[in-house]
Amino acid sequence: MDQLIKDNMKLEERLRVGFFLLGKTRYSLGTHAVSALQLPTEDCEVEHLAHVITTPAILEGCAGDITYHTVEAKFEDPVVQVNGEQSEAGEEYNNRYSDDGVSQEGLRKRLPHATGNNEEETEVCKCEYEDGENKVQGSSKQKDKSTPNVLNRDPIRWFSALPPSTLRQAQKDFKAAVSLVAGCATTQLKLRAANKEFRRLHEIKSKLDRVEKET
Amino acid sequence: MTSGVNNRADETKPTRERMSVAAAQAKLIAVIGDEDTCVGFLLGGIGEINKKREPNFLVVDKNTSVQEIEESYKKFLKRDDIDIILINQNIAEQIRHVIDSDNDNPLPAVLEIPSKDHPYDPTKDSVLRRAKGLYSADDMR
Repeated sequence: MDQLIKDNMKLEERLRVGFFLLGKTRYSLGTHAVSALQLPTEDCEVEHLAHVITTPAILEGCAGDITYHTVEAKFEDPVVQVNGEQSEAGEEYNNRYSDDGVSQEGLRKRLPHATGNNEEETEVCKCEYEDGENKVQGSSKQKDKSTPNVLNRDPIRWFSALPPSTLRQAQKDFKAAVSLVAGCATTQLKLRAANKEFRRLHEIKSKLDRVEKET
Repeated sequence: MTSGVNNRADETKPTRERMSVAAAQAKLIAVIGDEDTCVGFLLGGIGEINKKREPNFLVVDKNTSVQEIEESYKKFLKRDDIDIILINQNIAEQIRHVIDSDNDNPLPAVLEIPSKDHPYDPTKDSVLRRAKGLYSADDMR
């Protein structure tokens, strides 16, 4: 029980820092920039980047086989490379969470310099600037065949295209909070398993006591 | 003593195979909380809206009814892909009767977390209250 309370206190401290940084971000970007309005609605499909894996474990120090579950948090890389059909959905996702189409194209143009695939991609990007939307779609298909598209699923992009350092730090704090949540869950499940065993043994003891009194 | 443990380990080999399958399945964290809590944890990457348009979060504000919170909580409990439900402690107080009624299944684990305006109170936590209630002075003799 003490361990669970300590874990919860650590979680509270981490959350407090995260909330404070969110407040600072609101001060710089505006109240509505970091709010529930930026959260995804039921119209779109969003994939998680943080999940937990539960593993059965045996409670130590007990004669019987008391099992509980350990919970471990895992984080995925928000930036993924997608090919072929997935890239169209990926472009929709990127475009939805960018400021405007032109600036996003501009960002895409910078990527080849980072990856080193200069010739093919710069030619394709020039096509994108020539005509309107149809050409963009056509060129994106050409791009799919030649090189994989990069999809950034980082939720920080829901709030700002250029997130300030306070928002990035808040994200780090909340990711740490997710790991602490997994730790709290493990401790809680351990406590539940121990309580269940205690109740079972207590019932056996009370039955034995009753039998002794009768005899 | 150790040989006993080893024998027990051999008996659980099929369980271990099941363990490895279960361990590989990634599960989600659901959150029922105020705006800051939901924004924060979704910023951390736990948010998902699946193909059935079901989100794993609920933003509770002053207009959210207790019934909505209850329904959302029950939906998260029923889902197979959620292993942890985070709920602000002050919101958990509103549906305490629902949280306390489900004692059988260890998963999904329901964690009561503090919010920005309401600090954590261990005396109100369901799990800790249940654990504290098990121990009395007679049991220690």
